[in-house]
Amino acid sequence: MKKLLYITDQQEYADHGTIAPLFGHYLKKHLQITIVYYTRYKDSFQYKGDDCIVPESELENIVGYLDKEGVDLGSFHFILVRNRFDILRTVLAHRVRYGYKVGFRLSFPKTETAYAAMMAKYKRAFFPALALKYKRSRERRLIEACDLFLPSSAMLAAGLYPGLGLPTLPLPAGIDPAHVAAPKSGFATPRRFIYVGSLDPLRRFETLLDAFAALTRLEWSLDISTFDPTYLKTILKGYPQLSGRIRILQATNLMELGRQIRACDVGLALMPALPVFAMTLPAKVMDYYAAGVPALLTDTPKNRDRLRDGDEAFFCAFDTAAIAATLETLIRCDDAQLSKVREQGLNRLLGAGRSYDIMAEQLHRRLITL
Amino acid sequence: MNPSTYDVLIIGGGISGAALLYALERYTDLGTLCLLEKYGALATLNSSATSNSQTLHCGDIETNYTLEKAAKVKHTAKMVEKYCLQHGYENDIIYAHQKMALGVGYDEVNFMTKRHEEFSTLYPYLKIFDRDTLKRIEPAVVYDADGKERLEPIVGVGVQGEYTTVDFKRLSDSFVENAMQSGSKHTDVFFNQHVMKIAKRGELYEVRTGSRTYYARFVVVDAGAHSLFLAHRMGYGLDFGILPMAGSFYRSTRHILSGKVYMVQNPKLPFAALHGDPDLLLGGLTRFGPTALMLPKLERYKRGTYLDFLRTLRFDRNIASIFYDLLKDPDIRNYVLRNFLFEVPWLNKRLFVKDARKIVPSLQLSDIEYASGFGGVRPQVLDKKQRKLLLGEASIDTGEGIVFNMTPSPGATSCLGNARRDVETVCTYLGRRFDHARFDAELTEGDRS
Repeated sequence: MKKLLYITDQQEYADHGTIAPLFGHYLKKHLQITIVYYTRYKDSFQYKGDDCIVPESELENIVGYLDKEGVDLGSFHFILVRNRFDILRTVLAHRVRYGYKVGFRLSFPKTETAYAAMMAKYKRAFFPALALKYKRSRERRLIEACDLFLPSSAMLAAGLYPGLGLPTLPLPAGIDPAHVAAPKSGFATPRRFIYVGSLDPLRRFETLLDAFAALTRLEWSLDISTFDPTYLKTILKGYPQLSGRIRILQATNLMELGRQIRACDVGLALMPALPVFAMTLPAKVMDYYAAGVPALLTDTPKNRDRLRDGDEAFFCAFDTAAIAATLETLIRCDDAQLSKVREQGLNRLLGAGRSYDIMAEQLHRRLITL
Repeated sequence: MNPSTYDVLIIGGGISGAALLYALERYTDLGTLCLLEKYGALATLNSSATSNSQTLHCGDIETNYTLEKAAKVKHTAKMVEKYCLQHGYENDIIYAHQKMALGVGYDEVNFMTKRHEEFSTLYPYLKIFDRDTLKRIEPAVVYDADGKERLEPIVGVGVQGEYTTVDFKRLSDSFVENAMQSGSKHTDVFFNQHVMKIAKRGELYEVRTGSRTYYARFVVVDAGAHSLFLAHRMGYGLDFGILPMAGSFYRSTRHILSGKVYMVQNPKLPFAALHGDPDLLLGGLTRFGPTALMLPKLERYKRGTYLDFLRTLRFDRNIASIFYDLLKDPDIRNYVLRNFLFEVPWLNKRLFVKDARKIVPSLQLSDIEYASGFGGVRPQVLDKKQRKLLLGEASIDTGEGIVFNMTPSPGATSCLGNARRDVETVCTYLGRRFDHARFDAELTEGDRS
C-alpha cells in the first residue's frame, strides 16, 4: 500500500471536520496515511497512533524537523500540504531528495478573506491590493510546482488562480455516510433556528439579527454555536430585544455539534454574497444535512448549482427584508415540508459526490496516476 | 587506601548531589564515598526552598509536556514521593496541596479539556475543575475585585490529595543524613570546599579545593551552573554555554490561593509560566512568580561569579546566533523586555500585578510585595552545535570517569531518576554492582498508575 503524509495547518485536539472522515478513515482503505498536526502548547515531537504532533514553531522547517525526529520521508509516495504556503515551499524544496509527489490543499481562501475584511473596513487600500496581487502570484508559482491541486471547489481554483496548468481535483466539504442522522420525526414549536461557525465583521451577522428583530411572528428561537463568541457577544449588546430568544452554544467535538444541530429545525448558512463566500458551498450546510435539518442559504449561483430552492434547501437574498420574509415562511412551514427538503437535499448532496467515501476513492484514483 | 582517596566523589551538595550520595550508599557495593559542598550547609542555592517553587513536577499539569515525556517525569517524581513516604516525611518534607493548571479563554479551555482526556490515562486522579467547582475550591481565580465573576471562560485541570509540594532543602538534608547513618560504607561530607581545579592523575582524579586535595576513581559534578564551568576548565562540554536566568518572586500580604495554580505554558518559554503557590516558608501565604531576567552571574545572593559567568558563556558567533534567533521571536522578545521592566522601580510591581491578574483577577497592588531573598538562578544550557537554547537538563558523560550534570527545573523532581542513571554509569565504569532490584523495589515499583 502506498504511503501519504498529510501536513495540516490544524491543531492537535481540534475536531477536524474533513480530516477525520476523509483522510483519517475512508482514504485509509486505499493508502497508508500519516497526518501531521501542530501544537501551540507542547514543546516536543509526539507520535499519536499513525499521526504526528509537532510544535508550531517547527512547521516552517517541517521537513528537516520530521527527518530529525526519525520520520522516514523517503518512504512516502505523496505529501499533501493544507493551506500553508510556507510549508509547501519547504516540502517542494526537498521533493527531489526524497522522491515524493506533492499536492496542495486549499480549503479556504484565507488571504482573500483577510483582504476582503480590510477592504470592508477601509474601502480604499492600494498597498494591500498590490500586496495581495504579489502574494497571489507567488502562491500561484508554488501551486504550479505541485503535482496535484486540491481546492475546495473548482470555482475557487478558477477564481483565484485561473488557467493553472496542473491536475486539479476539487475536494469540497462532504458528508460522512456512516454518520448521517436518521430523518427527524418531530420539529419544534416555536421554530428553532441554528447558526454554526465563526463570526466576524465580514460575515455581517447583524443583517440576520436585524431580520430576526423585524419578524412579526414570535414563535422562534435561535441557537448560535461558535467556538469563540467574543465578537458575537459584542454585537448582541445592540439587540436587547432578542436576548431571551438567542442562546450561545459551544461544541467541544463534532458529535456534540451534531446534537446541537439536531435539536433545531433549520440551519442558517446566510452570508454576504462576497466572492470569498460565494466560491464554495458552506461546510456548515453539510453539518446541517448530516444532522437532520435543512438549510437556509444565500441565493448565489454556486449554492443554486448544488441545491434546488424549495425542494432541497431554502434560499434568500442577503438583506434584512428578504431574510425576514423567508424566516416568516419557515416559521409557518409544516414539519413534513422541512423533513422532505432535508431528505431531498441530503440525497442530492450524496448523489453529487459529497460522500467522503466516494471522495476518498476519487482522490486515490487521481493520486495513483501521478 | 589513602583516606582522601574515594571510589566516588560528588561535587555539589544540592538536591542532585545529595540524592546521588544516598543512591550510591544504599544501592551499590562501593566502599568509599565523598561529597564536597562549597558553602557551610547543604542546598543553599537553587535547591533551597526560597529559590524554587517547591513543586513536585510530575507532568500532570505541565502543559508543555507530551504524554510520553510526562510518563518519564512521572516515573522519577514518584521516586521522590516513595522515598518520602518510606521514611515518614509526610507533612515534614512532602505535602499534599491542591494543584492545578488554569486555562483562560476559549483556546486554552478547549486545549485543557482535550488534554485532560488524553492525560487522564496516565494520571487517573487528574480532575477537571469547572467554573462552579473553582468557585468552591479556588474562588480567587474566578472573582474580580468587585466580586463579579471574570468574563472569560476558565477551566482548571489538577489534583487534590496528591503529594505536590516538597521542601527540597530538607529533602537534600535527609538524603545525606540517611546516607551517613547507614554506616555500611566510608562516607565523608565536607563543607566550605570550593573546588578550584579537577585534573586526571593516572587512574585517579585529583580535586583541589582552597584547603585540601582529594582523589577519586570517579567524579560526578552536580554543581548547577558551575558544573559547566568546571567542565570547560577540563576541556569538556565546549559546545555548551550557560545562560543564567534569575527568577524573582512576589509574596502576598494575605491568604489568596488555597493551592498551587499554574497557567498554560508557552512552550518557547516553559520556565516563564507565572504561577501562585502557598509557600511553606511563609505560612501558606501565596508566592507569585517567577520573573525571568538574564543575570550575568552564576549564583544568586552570593558574592562574585560574574567572571565565572563570562567564562561559562564562552561568547562567540554561535552564541550570538542563538541570541539573535531568540530575540527574533516576538514572544520571546516581548517577554525579555517585560521582564526587564519588572526590575524598574515603581513600574515593576504594577506590571507584575497586571500579569498575575490572569490567575487572580482581584489582585491589587497592596496585595503583594517583593519577596526579598527569594529567587534563584536557572542555568539554561545553550547548545552551540545546534545553535539553540536547551529547555531541560543536560549531562556530559565523558566516558572517562567524570560526569557533569546541569539540572535546571525539573531537576529537583528528577533527582533520584538522575541519580539512578549516574549510579549505573559509575558502577559500569568501576566494575561494581548496582542493586537495581532493590532500587526499583524501594523507589519505583507500585506506582499507583
